[in-house]
Amino acid sequence: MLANYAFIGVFFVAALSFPVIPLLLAFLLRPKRPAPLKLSTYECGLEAIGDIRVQFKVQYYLYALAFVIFDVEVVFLYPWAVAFHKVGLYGFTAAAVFLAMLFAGLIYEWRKGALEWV
Amino acid sequence: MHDVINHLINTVFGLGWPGWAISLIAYLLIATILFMIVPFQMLFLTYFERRAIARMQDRVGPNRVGPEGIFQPVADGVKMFTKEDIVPDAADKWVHLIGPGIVVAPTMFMFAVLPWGPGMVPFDMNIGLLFFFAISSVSAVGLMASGWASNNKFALLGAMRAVAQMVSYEIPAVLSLLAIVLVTGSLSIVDLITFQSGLFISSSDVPGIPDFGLGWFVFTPVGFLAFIAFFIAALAEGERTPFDIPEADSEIVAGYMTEYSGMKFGLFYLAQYVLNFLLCAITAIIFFGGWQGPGVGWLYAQAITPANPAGNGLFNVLAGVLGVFYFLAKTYFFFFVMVWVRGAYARLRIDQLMDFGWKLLIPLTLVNVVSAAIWVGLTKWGAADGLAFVEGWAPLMRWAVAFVITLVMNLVAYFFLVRVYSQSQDERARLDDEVLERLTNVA
Repeated sequence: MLANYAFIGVFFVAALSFPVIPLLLAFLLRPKRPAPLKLSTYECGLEAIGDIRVQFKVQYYLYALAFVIFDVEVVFLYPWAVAFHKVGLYGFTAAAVFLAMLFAGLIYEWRKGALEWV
Repeated sequence: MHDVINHLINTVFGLGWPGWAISLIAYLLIATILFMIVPFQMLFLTYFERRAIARMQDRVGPNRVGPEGIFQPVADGVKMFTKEDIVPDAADKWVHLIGPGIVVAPTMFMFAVLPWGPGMVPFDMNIGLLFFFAISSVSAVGLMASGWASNNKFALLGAMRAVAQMVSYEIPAVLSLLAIVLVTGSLSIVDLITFQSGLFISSSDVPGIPDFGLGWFVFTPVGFLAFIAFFIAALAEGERTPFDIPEADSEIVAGYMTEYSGMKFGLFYLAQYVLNFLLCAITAIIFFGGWQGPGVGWLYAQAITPANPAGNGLFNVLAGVLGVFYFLAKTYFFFFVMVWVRGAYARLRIDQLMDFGWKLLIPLTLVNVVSAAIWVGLTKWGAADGLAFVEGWAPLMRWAVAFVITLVMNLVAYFFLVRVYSQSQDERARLDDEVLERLTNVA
């Protein structure tokens, strides 16, 4: 089994080189005539004001935080799911408590307004 | 594959190459074949989508290049190659260049574990499903990189939206698959498919069901709810209408692709269609049996397999052709549904999108996980697991009881959660109206 993972390595290299080939081919085929106006930032005809590296809406980070919590908990649940045919009622109860806590966390977040887009 | 090449090199040509070289050649050959099929398919999918959506919108669609316009995607490809590559002065040149690469490479990498037919899988990984979804989320990094490097406000906004949407809908997708993993007890995609033999009832749940290759998960209450949730999440992951706010052209031009042209833009386009194909394929595999269908199981039983070395090679070909046909038919059907949804629904607002994912899909899929656990307990467990009372029941009886209980659970959860969700949406609309009224009074 472990030796077969060499396939994943070969495939990984192949997948990485996949976007390189068309980019190289396009590099050889395409014209290159830069002009100052062509290279300016696209802003619907008006000149761009200021930089984009500014403070950004915090709502995105709240969702990202909630995502991290949920995703880690889901990753904890996967081994349980694979072994579920063997864990018995005890394993079911333990995971049910875990799921209940996850659910309570979701409700808490909801009631606190962390899931509201403002 | 490995054996065929080994035979060719060491027996026919008598070169006597070592095993690892044979393996390397076999692996490279598989990768090359896959990477030639995939862009070809993507061309077909773009043409299909444009013609189908045109028909739904009472238009004709592309019909000039070649008969009925079938060479339109080829013409588009030639255009992509010969268009000038415009990199804005303000952009971060290197990150701008590697952004599309980071988006495309993972979508190609995901093909490593995708089974096409019986015995036709590049690599039957024991954690294939986990691998598939772990790799799929990597492209969010590429989207963020390209949006950030473009130094354009539309691009940054589009990238932020894309990442927020992808991470939000990954949770319902992974939770709905968790229910399926609970039922099968395996993360291997090949095992998931073999589990779905039978006739409306999986032969793994009730032994002795005749095998017509129709024991799909979608026929169980658990699988059905998981399928609905997963397909909606797949629409969001693939940035399809009604979840296409990252590239909402009427609001933010083209989102993270705004500052891209030529082949770099082409790579984004390619990645999107390949991802859509993969999501349709994984939906077909997990909930609709992949290559399972009437006849495939019987044909494959006669074929040469590790379990049956004395089989007939002709049946390998027949089973393969029929299996791939079923698989692709299901996959293209789901792609058609994606196009259909695009023709039927308007784009959501970002707050509606987030609310739908977090307040409806996630609780629903969490309940579904518990339903799946009950399903397994009722169909598979015995006295040793602490469920002595099901021991004496016939398998069909156990299946029926599990079906009714999980159906009731999922229905109650569905109606309750939809009510709570629509109340919260009404409340939100009321608050919005209040604010609007106050603003108009001030004016």
